[in-house]
Amino acid sequence: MKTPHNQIGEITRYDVVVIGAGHAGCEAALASAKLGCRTLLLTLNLDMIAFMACNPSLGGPGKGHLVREIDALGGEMSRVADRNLLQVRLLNTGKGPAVQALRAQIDKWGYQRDMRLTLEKEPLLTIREDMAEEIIIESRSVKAVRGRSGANYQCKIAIVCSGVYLGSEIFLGDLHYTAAPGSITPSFNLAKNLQGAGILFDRFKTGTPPRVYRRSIDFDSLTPVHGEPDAPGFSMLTPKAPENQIPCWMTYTNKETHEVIRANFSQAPIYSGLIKGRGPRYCPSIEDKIVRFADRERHPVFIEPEGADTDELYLQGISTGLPPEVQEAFLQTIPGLEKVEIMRPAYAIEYDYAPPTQLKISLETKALTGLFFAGQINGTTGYEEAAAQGLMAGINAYRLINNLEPLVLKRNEAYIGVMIDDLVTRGVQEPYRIFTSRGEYRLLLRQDNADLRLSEIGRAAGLLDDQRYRCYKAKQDFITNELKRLEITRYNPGSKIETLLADINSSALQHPLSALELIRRPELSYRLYAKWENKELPELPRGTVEELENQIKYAGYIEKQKHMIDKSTRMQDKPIPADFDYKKAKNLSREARQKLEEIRPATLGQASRMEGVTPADISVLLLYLERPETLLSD
Amino acid sequence: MYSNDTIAAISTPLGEGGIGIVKLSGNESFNIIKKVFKCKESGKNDYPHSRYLYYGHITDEENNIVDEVLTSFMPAPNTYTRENVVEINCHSGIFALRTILKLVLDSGARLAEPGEFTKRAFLNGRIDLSQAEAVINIIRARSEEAVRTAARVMRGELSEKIDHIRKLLIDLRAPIEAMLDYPEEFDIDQFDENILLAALSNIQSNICNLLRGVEINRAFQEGVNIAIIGRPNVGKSSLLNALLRQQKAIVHETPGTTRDLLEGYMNLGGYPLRLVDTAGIQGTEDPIEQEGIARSRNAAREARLILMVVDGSADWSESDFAIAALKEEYQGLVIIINKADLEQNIDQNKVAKSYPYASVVKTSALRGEGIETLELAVAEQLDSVLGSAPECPVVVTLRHEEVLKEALQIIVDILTATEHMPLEILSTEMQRAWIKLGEIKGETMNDDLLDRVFSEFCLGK
Repeated sequence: MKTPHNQIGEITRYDVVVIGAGHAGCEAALASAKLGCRTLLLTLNLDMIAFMACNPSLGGPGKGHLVREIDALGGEMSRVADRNLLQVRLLNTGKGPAVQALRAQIDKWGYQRDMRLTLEKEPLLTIREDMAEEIIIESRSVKAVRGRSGANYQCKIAIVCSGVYLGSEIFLGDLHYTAAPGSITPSFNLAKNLQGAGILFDRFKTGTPPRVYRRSIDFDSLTPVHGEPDAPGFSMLTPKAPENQIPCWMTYTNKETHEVIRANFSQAPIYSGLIKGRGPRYCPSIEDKIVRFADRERHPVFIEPEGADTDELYLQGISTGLPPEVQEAFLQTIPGLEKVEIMRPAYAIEYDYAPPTQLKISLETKALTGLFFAGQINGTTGYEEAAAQGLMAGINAYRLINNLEPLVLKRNEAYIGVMIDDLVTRGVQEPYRIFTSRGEYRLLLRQDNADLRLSEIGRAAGLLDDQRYRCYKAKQDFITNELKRLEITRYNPGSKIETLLADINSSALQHPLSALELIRRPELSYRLYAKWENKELPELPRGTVEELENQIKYAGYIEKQKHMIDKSTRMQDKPIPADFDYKKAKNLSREARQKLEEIRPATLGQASRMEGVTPADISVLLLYLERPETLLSD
Repeated sequence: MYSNDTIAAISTPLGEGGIGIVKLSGNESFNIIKKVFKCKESGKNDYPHSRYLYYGHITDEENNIVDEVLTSFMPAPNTYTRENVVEINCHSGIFALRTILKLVLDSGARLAEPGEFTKRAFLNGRIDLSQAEAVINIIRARSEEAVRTAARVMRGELSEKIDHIRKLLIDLRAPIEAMLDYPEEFDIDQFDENILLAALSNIQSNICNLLRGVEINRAFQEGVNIAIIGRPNVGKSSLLNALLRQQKAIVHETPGTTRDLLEGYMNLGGYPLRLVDTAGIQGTEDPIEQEGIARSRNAAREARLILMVVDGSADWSESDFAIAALKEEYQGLVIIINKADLEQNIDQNKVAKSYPYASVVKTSALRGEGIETLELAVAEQLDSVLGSAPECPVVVTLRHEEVLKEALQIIVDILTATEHMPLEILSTEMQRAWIKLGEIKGETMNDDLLDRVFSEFCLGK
């Protein structure tokens, strides 16, 4: 077994080795190192850390929520993004409190550089360019990671954050070759060796749109989309987005575009049968959109800058696997793009992922102690989803080393909890993306209360710094005190406030009301009320007033969701022993027993969310859990 | 064993039928039954012998015979529930069944929760589900083997209808959710609030229809309330007697003889009816009579159908107008022009024209004339106020009704507040209604799931 390099490797002994320095790997490594683990971060290319291989943007509904949650737990994506904002918009304003979300264009190079510097500053963290080839396992536990360089990095924990860099193949029309984004050589041996250790892999596909020259665009025929200087940033420490923002633009495909694409279907790898992996339904290629939404005459195209000072533009909405010459032909049918020049052609990519039902809720694999997976290897898509998993894997790696219970966020606490529970419980049929509609307790999971929901958890986990914690405290205290004050401030019919109410066409008081009840009226806002009171608002963390107002105006609906949670919690949280013998539970349906044995859910709630497990199976399980003696009867 | 207390319930469907069964299960069931069952064959050896039918009487506290019955004793563990089980086969009238059940309960048994027999069977390991079948399905199959009634089929319909309403909710939410999760691709302007409101109203009426089914179900289980009202001495009590074909009410020519409410049960067109004879309604100084009139008005309010009796030999009076005006929108009305044996002052056609929604019939309660016509009119009115029974799912439990009402309330709240309700809240509330409705089929999990799964089943199965 011993190779000459082994002796060198033995000198460098790590607690945690993170494989891959994408968005998951960076958060995992930072969390692990900040918590006190000696951490090694391996990357295929030191110049491509935190590379935004697809869109130069972050956020949107669900995804923006994730970034805020990462921030509240002490992660870095939010802060690095805020330092590199090109444009910020608040989406879904006026559509409800919990679906509002921040979406930001990010300077791609700035982000990479900033994240790398953040990693470099972390004392317990070592970055090293090497390709992980094998994870050395002894008695079902991680012992070391062997690099292509021959180095043997001894460790207790390995966190695999391989993104789309495992067994990847790129497709350009009928051309295909072994490569990963950034023309990097992907890893083949790592997946092969993991398969040898009992980990299953499958294939997914995804795609990216073309990047084009700014100088080749006719901006006069495009609709500009401007940012909002008043919008906040992702991190609680960023009260306001930068003043000078760069616009994006919008245009549409048309019938002619669709005809060109249809005429060349046979050259699209997904239709010619070259690609077998499943792609996401919600980020479809333009050829997918034309097939599936045949009645739509046009699809929007968003033109986004890749950076503040580059001529490269990203065409969101038209990822494709068609050959470059067809790409150019159909792009040139689109208004504003008649003379377009492509800088990087669009491509489709197929890669290995490991079905995430092989994971515990801590993101550790069930098969091998100390082996964690985070990010796209778990079948997800998106930088935000990856970063959130990386953060949780990093925290739980530290906790495993220190014999602490894993940190598990509940579905009613965070979208991170929703996502990880979905992944490990239900698995993925297509690349998984977060949506606000995935959370059944959506009203509680607002972007404006991510800090209120998670800062104490992040602090207790040891990750949230003083600055952010103080900021959260200030917001929390203000809201708590204001709610109390508004509740005890009461107005009787005939009091002076009625003239002010009349000014905004609000009805007079029929009976005594508290200020809280008044602000619940749709026509009155907290800010206006504070003005009536001549109350100077102190300097407050971002989103404080908005969150206070949400808590007042939507109190009734929020209460209803809380009530739903209370009703289901006792049952949901009922633990199922890890060694529970499903074979003895003879009343379970065959399908349910098989799935339960495979997934081994940690709680009854998790079991209930599994496919193939019916309410009746749950009642049988509950019976056995409450009355284990029935297992022994005939 | 799961539980030690003894439960009892009526385990045959209520309604017309030759035999009804009251069933007990639990450790004490043999002892409890011995308190109320006087076996006429108890001299025999080894009484009670397992699985023998014993002839005897059920008697009340004062040793009055309530019914003659056949009783069987089934000792644990080879029974449906794996507990001691007793079945009393008695006459199926609702009175007999209820009285026997009450005696059993007074003697120490507890009324079974819906589905509790099956629940015990399951918890005691009696029911085996090894064939990849769900608890519900297996137990349903058993029930169907045992009691293959039309009502069973109709319950399948309930599930279908719930699925349908839930699907409507999902279909409605889908574009809203797409809009919320893809704000850049879908324009809010593409959203037509009128279509949404129409769809929500449709959902509302779907739930209302199901609730009508609940009412019909209750009608079948408990009897439809029918109030006989009218001025004093128009022949209300005679009519009750004529309908029941027995002398239940004291008939006397002195007006105001009936000061309290008199009840009688009968079956008509498949409906079990609870007829209430009331005191005559008219201005009076007599405080006792006044109290009686107040009760009459209450009885009228609680009825589903009002039988208004007028004296055909007298004139249509102010009081008659006032009495006819008592009819509420949810009620049916039959106007009975009684005393057809005397000279007539009221024109049937004119009455029919003035009250087009009512059925108008002529009777002579004294002579028993026109009673069949009256019965037809009653059945017709019931069909129209309750809806034709076969089209509605009949077997709906109280729990279903509660769930349906809660879901309905959510939809009504959305419809009244749409203006100030952001899309997200609207969608969340629809989700809540969807989750609520899922409880009917046990698809929504919460902490009392097990109890709920088993309350899917009819009482006493």
